[in-house]
Amino acid sequence: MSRLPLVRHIHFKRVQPFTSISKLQAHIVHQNLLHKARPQTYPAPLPLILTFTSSPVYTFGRRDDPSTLDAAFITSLREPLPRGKHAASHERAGAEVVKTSRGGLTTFHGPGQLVVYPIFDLKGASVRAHLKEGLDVRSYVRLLEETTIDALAEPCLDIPCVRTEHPGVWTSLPGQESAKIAALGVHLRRNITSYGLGLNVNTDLRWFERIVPCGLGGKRMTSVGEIWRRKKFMEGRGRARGRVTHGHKSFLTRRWVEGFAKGAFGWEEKGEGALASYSVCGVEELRRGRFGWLGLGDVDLSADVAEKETSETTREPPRATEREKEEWSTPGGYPQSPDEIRSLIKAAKNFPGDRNGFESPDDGSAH
Amino acid sequence: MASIARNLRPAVSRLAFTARARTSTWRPSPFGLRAFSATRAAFEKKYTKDHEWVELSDDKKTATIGISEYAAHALGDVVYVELPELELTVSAGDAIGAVESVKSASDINSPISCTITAINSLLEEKPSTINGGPEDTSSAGGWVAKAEVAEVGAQDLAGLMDAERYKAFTEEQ
Repeated sequence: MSRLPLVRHIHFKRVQPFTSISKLQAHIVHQNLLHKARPQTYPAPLPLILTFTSSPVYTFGRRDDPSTLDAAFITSLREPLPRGKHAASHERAGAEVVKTSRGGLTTFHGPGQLVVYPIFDLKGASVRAHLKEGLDVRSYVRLLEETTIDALAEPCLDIPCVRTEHPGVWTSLPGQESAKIAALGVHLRRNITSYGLGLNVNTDLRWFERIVPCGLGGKRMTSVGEIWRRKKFMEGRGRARGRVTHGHKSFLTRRWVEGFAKGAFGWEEKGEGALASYSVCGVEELRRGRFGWLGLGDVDLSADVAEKETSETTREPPRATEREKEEWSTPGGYPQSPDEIRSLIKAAKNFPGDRNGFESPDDGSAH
Repeated sequence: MASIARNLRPAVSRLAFTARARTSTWRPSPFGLRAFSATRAAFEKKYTKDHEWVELSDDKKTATIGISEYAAHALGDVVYVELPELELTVSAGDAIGAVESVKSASDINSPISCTITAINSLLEEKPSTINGGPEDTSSAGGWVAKAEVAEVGAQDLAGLMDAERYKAFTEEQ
């Protein structure tokens, strides 16, 4: 007979709409609350850690109320970032604005940021098996911060971080002011946790320029990618650290979850199957048989579609097609044979200042 | 040494006894005048497993609600209190607000079914009041809300813990 794991982990491989994950989270919290209210009727859910990358979204905490804020400000938050003309269609999307019930103030979640939501009972049996008195608010927040610090200290990431009197995980380089690399905001309902941590791996930090992140004026946000670029600049070495890749992000996710499982539930590396990790593409995959323990059934997990979504944001950029038509027009329309294509490519190479649609590096306008 | 101790011990214990007797008459009764005819239950708080308390008035029509010392201590410095709306009717266990500390918003659940009639606006201006006196029902205290209680609310009290049982419960935690 196989034993139940100590803790489960669901990782979403693709960018997820924030509201879908919120709904999933609300369902899991509800499962936990049902057990707490009627332990005889409802089985105890195992602790669950959700890790995902969100579509761009600004979230407000308990204290903020977007409806009291200036409408123009909210509209400006929804605008997409300025992008080059060859940005992919998903990068042209703007951000949603969502109010949540977590603590803390305004923050941003989006591509390049690892969001971690552990959902479990701080005083439940799973925690008490390891920590006799369970966790309380402050020790839980401390655990979230220390798990992040330990994960970032791994040699292949090598980012020294500290805790301060301000919740969150802070880092700095010599001579630079301290900056926050991970923001934190938790909701507790009858000691059942929800929400958690947002760790900037390679987030586009321009998104944070529009808000005062976590209400701390004069402090900025940073990311693993930015720290590495700065280190490279300061140390003057060539491609010393390289770029933050998907592999780094996966490693960081795994290390974080393992560290947390260790700290909260006493997970050990040799434990057979004690940490059950699942990797899925989207929330709908969670309705399949092997996720029966989630009890999703017919629960609605659809993303709340923002009003400002038009077909233009999902279509291919039309300008390139027109440009192709202009430059490569043949009497018969588009090139039909390999020879035609070869001669057109040769002609395009001789076209001044425009090589396959990109700015030529020679005229100095490349970025 | 032992013989001295033997001689001393009765004296010590006599002193202790008399000292105790003296202080016991001086200690003010927690319920004001020691009137055995008054119903103590009216002034006693009842506690939930989630560390909220409720104090019912004499006529069992109004109640004061708040969070316990234990909860306030566990939270640390409170930076924000979300108070319920007036006229909000809730059942036992429904959320009526939240307390925020270390970027964590902890829900406050109503211990009994009731309708909110007053909120402690002092907590809006100065959230740290709740740390100073979470069980204080005076106007300068950290109580959260006052409410009107119907029959069903008074019955909800039966499921709650009195001060002693709550103290034992927190010690188990």
